[in-house]
Amino acid sequence: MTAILELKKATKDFRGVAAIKDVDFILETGEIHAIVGENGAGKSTLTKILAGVYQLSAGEMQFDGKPIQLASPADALNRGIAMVFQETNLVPSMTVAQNIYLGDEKVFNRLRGLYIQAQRFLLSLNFYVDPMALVSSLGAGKKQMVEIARAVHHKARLMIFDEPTATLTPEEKFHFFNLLQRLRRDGVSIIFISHALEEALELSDRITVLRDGKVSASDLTKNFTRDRIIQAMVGRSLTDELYSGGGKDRAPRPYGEKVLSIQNLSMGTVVRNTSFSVFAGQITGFFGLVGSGRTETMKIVSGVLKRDFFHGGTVRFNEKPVRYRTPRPAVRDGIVYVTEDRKVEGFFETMSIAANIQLGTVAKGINPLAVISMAEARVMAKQWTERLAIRAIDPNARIIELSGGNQQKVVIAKSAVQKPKMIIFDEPTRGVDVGSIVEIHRFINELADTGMAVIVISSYLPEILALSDRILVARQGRIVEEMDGRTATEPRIMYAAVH
Amino acid sequence: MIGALKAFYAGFRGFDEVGSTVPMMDGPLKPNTALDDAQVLLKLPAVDNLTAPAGGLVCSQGTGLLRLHTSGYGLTAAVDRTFTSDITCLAADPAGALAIGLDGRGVVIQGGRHDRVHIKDADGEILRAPTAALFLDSDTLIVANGSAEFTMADWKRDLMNRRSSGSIWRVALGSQARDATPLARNLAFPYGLAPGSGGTVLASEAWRHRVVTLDASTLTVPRAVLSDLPAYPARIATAAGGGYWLALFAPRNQLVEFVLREEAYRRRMVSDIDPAYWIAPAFSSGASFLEPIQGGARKKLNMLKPWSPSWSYGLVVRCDAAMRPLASCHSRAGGNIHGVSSLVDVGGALLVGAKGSGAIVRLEDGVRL
Repeated sequence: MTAILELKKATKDFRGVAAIKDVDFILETGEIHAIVGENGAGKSTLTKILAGVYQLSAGEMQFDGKPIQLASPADALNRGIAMVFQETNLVPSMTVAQNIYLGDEKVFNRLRGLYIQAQRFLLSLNFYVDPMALVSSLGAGKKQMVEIARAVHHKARLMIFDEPTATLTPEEKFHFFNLLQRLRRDGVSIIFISHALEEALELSDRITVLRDGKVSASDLTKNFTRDRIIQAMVGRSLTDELYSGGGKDRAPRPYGEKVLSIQNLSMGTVVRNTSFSVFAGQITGFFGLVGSGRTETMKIVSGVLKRDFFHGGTVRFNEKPVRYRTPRPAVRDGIVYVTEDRKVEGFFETMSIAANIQLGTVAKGINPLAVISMAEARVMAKQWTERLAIRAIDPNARIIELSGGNQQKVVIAKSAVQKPKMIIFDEPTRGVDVGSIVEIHRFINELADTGMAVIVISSYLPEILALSDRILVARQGRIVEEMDGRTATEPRIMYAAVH
Repeated sequence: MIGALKAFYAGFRGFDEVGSTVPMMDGPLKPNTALDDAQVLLKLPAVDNLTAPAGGLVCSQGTGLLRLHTSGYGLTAAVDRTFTSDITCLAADPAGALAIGLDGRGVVIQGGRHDRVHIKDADGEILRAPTAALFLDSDTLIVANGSAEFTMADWKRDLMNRRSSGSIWRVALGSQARDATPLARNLAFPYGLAPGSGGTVLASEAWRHRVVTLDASTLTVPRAVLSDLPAYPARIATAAGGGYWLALFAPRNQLVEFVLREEAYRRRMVSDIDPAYWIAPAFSSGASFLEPIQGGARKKLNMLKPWSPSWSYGLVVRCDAAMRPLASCHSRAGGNIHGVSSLVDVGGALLVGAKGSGAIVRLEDGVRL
């Protein structure tokens, strides 16, 4: 095999701080190369350099054996390098088909023809997405599919996937892996970043591990084990802390007061006559496949969505029937929802860590005069930065400049300052590295230990098993199974979610 | 028009305009078959009021007061005394007295210092349905009068007429006039009593699906300690290991909740139909084809689906000292231990009296939690 892409002593600085430093990287033709590392290790920076988003501060990049300088992502795409970003970059007001063929339009476009063409193309990838649907109406999983389809459509010779499977269901993942194998057989080289180490071990030919902006290990996949990857990532073994024993090595927390009682809740065809309870001092795990209505149910509880006006059921919070039209009264009553889509709903990306955390107290109405002291905000930010180990190059850095894991920690801090009675985490560790996962899990456990009612929605079964005292499984808009955290197993949960 | 405005207001304020939702049996109330799996000690139709006076065990069956004796792995019953009315409640005093509630006729004391005392009324209110009694000491009896209008035998009428005329009284047995002090009024069928902490009494309020706490000496506003129950609570028993056991005799379901809000329908049902066939909770069900059904497909291959809606159910809940549910034992729709009305924690085991199914079962320590 010959190298299609090579980096030599690649360095990228931000305000004088190196995000990656002296990185040597080789990608062979027709190879699937996994890049793993903690959040902030430099994975995204590295791949953005390859995709033309950033330019190198020092070092050299060679493509097909020739040195190149990529001016922009469009330049990279023209040379055959396509990137599927972690946070989707689709145009929300356009349809799926229009997004796939964006930048590839003809002078005269017949929409019907475009939709038929897109439908065939999506089906050939085993992606069941309506080409006529507006992207804004799609869930995170479907958006990811459209993003992947767009990259495949451009017939790139090198494709870079940043966390491609985070939002896919197991079945969609299976199809996606098959697609990657097919692309590899066609001679396409693939780089993919994943926090799911099992995927890297299963799918890739070679793994490169980054730590603190440097390559800490790079080898053929067959020479790696899960523990060796983790050690290379964090410098210590986290196997015992991460998903240890599926949560069965500790006694489950006893039931506290019934905090939330959902009775026959309905919202169109998404949430269908569902009923369940949530208790204080416990972590209630909420599992379901895409379309099971778990996120929508929790968004109704927290006032983001509205249940059916008639026959929409009852929501009782602390014995009181409630119907929130906006999140604000829910926050004031003590319900906080930590979103799964942090980029869109979680934070203000151009504001600092302190300003974002301070905004949590504004939403709660702790400061009725809305007089914001930035000095207080900075003190608060410092406390939460230490408590949640938020790592930023600069304390005044904008959120957009933080890695995914640190962004997530800021979103959690912003919610936790509201002193809720019940906190709902929707995919709390999506796109988060193993080190941060341990820290976030520890924090979630701390909240439950203080007597708070905690709900964790997750698509990742080991996470559900590790955290939950009690597990609820949703299917087709309603709760179909309740399990004890001690006795639940992955096959049992998945069986309930599918059948 | 008014109906539409009401519906709009209900939606605006956040409560279900039909009001027919019921809470889920989940968490500590997650269904199981522990009651059906438990050892049956005695089959005794209409058994009620299991009580453990000093060194013994008694219960009631209609008008008869029965003493229970161990026999091998089970129990045998012998009639101790017969009354002219059904026995509605029993309470034992460690000093040897037994308070016996009689349907429509108040409470009589048997044994002890106040033997043969008959309390027919409390401060002028006839104790028509003495559903529960509790000795605070040998001279002080707490009595729950389930309804001021209906007898215990007519409990369904009290529910279907949406009455809340129940009350709880503190009766001074030592005084000549048997002075009675009201502790709570306007209760919706108080059905169980237990001693609380710090001079309080716990009472189950069946039609409001809750357990409340009251001051044991004076009239106070009841405060809910356990509410929004998915079934109708009956007796409360003190658990040997601390905390309480709560018996629930019938499940709530959406159809009953709906009927309870349909004035005209309910009025005609009450006036025209035999109570046994009302759309209402019951101690037992499934014996007659005349019973109303709640939707089809309740049976498959002649097996009643355990999750199907039923008029009766068996449920015992273990609660902590603050009356928070910890665990529960069930007999589901297809089960055989329905209509649990009384409990007694004695000799390291919990004896459960299922009035509906007519059985006394024993829950061992391992099964209980």
